This record gives sequence, C-alpha cells and structure tokens, in this order.
Amino acid sequence: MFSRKTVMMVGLAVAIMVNIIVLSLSTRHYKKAYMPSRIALAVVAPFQEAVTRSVRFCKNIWTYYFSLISVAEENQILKRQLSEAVEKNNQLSEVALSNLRLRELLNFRKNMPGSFIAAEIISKDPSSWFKAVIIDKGQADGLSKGLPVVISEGIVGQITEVAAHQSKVLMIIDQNSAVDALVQRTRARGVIEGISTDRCFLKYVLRKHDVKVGDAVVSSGLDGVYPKGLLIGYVCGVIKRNSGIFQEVAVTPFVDFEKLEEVLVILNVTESETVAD
Amino acid sequence: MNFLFYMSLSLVLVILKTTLMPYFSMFDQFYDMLIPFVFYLGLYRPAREGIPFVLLLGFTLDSLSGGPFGIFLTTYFWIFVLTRWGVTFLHAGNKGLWLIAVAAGVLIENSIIIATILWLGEASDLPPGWGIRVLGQLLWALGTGPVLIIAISIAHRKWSGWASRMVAVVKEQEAR
Repeated sequence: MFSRKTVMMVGLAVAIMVNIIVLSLSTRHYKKAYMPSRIALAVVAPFQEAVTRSVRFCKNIWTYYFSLISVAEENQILKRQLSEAVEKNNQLSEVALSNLRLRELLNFRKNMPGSFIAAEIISKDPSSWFKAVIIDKGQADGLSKGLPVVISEGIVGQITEVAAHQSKVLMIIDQNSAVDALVQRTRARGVIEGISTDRCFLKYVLRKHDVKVGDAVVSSGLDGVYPKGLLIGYVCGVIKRNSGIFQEVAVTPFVDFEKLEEVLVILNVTESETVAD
Repeated sequence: MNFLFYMSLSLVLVILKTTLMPYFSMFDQFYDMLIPFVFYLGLYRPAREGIPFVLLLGFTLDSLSGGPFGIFLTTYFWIFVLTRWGVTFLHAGNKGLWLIAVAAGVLIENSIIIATILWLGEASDLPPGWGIRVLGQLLWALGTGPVLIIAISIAHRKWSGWASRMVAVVKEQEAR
C-alpha cells in the first residue's frame, strides 16, 4: 500500500517528534531524580571514583617523585651545609676556649721570671691508682727530670721521666708527690702530699700555727723544685687531734686535674725563684 | 706475625685506656684492659712466646704509669704464669672460667698496687674510697671481661687468616 520510502520518512518524523516531546518534558522536570539514574550512579560512581583516585594517586606520585627528588637534593645540600656549619662552630668554640686558656697561660707567663715551654697533655695514667700524665715535649725541647709543671691556676706537678719528645709528669695529687708549702696568710710551713684523689694534705704543720678553712697554700720554694709563691690550693679542712704535735690540713688544689689540656714547664727554676705578684 | 698482632692490639688497648676513656667519666673505674689480653695469651699461647711479650707489655705500662716501676711487670707476669698453671687442670674454653679469671686478674693487680702502697708508706696512705675503686673495677671486669677475650680471640683468628693468605700470595709470587 505505502512504499518503503514513505514508511521510513513517517517513522523518522515520529521519532523526532517523540524525542522533542521527551526532551521538552525532561527539560521542564530536570531536577527530579529518577530511580534508574540513581541506580546507575550507585553502580558506576564507585568505579569512577576508584579510577579517578588511582589516576590522581599516580599523578601525585609522579609529581611528588620529581619534586621529592629536588627536595631530597636540596635537603642533602642543606644537611651538608648544616653539618659543616656545626663543625665549624664547634671548631671555633674549641679555638675560642683554647685561646682563653692560652691567654691565661700567657698572662701567667708574663708575671713569671725565667723561661717556659708550653706543652699539651697527650695521655693519662693507665692505672686509676696513680696520677701522672704524658706531655708532648721532651729532651729535644730542653726538658729534664725534676722540672716543675704549672698552669695559671697553680702547680700541676713535676717531670719524673723524659723521653726524646715526651715526658711523664707526676701530678701533685699523686700519693708519691710532695711539695714544700706555706699557708699564705700565716706562713705556716708544711709539706703538700697527694692521696690520689682530687685533694691533697698539708702535712707536718705544727699545732700552734693558725690555719683556717679558705686560706691559700703556696709553694715555699724550699724543696728546690718549685719556685716560691706558686699557688697550690686552698685549705678545705683542719683537724687538730688531741695528741700529736702536728695538725692535719686538707687542701683542695686550684688546678682542676680532670680538665688539664695545656701546661707550662718552667725551664730555669733558679731564675724564677719568686713569683711576681 | 703473631708478635705484630700482639703489639698492635696492645697499642689499641693502651690508647683506649689512656687517651680515649678518660674523656668519659663512666669509665673512671674501668679495669686494666690488658689483663684479659694477658689472660688470653696464657690460655692459648706457649710460654716461650707469651712471657717475652708479657714482660715487654709490663715494662711499657710501667713506663707510662706514675706508680712505682714494676707493678704492671709483676702483675702481668703472674697472671700469665697462673693462667698457664691453671690450664693444666682446667678447661681453657670455659667462659665461666674466663669470667672468674679476669676478675681474679683485676684483684691480683689491685692487691699488688695496694701492697706496694702499704710497703712504701702506711695504711693511711691508701687513697680514700679505694674499696669502691676495687669493687668498681671488679664489676666492670665481671661484666665485660669474657666479651673482651672473645673479641680478642676473633680478632686474632681474622689476623691469622689474613696473615696466612698474605704469606701464600708472597710465596706464589716468589715461585713465579
């Protein structure tokens, strides 16, 4: 009845009309959610989300990787700079401290007649029972056995053995050490003996002599080793027993023997008989 | 080669004790680290090899110390002799024995020092806190003595292996 061409034309027109009607209807009510679209959303969205997140994750990794490389490089450089700065700071602190100590030694040296040689302590006694140190100057530097060793705070000890370039110094706190000494205020005389701790004893001080806690003790110069007037320590205890002609006087040395680093060796003891004020 | 090892190890131990450890106050009461070494020599080395070295070691330490000469010489010699005697009837590899032996070595050294101080002077010449000093050393010895011996033993084995390889290489080169 109708040709095939006519049927197709009518069908197309109907389809266009239906499409227009549906579009116009949906445009008017586009805010309403329909069940199928919700289901679709519920089913598809998680996958979309997963893929999106994965892509973003990869993208972030990629971005961060490159930025991290540069950050890591920068971090390395900064760390190196920081460590160099810390090291330099530490070196400067050490130099400043060393400078301070050497200045003190220099001032002390200016006040002392005679000639000196500065030395560094390189090791301590292998046994905790004895108090000796090894210094880095020896016979080649003009040192000999018996020379006194001092720092600005006071007497350190005397040289007991000399090698070509090193010497052993027996400190005054060693129990084998003895220094002829005076209480500065009253001129009471005694002998400073070590007890291998951070204290010494001023022995053979007559009971009649006035010795008080806080009095300074100096070398008397009578032992022929240490020049007269060198500081040794201060009195930190006086014991007068009921019997006996002597009193016991405990002395804390001015020198901190645990922190000794540099010392001065007095070369001409006869020239530096008395310490200038 | 063995002698070279003994020399190097002694040097390391002496430097540790006299130069590095004084920087750390926790090691103030640490014992003489050469005692375990002398004990090790007594355990595993023959007298003809050990005694000359032990005497040399004692001489060196006496030279470095401010104490009367001969203290370390005497200590090391007797520790070596007693160890040689001990291994004739005790098992040398017994770690428990090492523990006691190092502590005994520390006691021997301290006894010799105390005896010397008393010999030179009087009882009051002993420094205050000497008992705590000895006790501290003993505790350190009990805690670390066997470990030190094991370390020395491992180091010696490695050294011997390295030395024999070196000798083999030299011989091979000479043969060519």
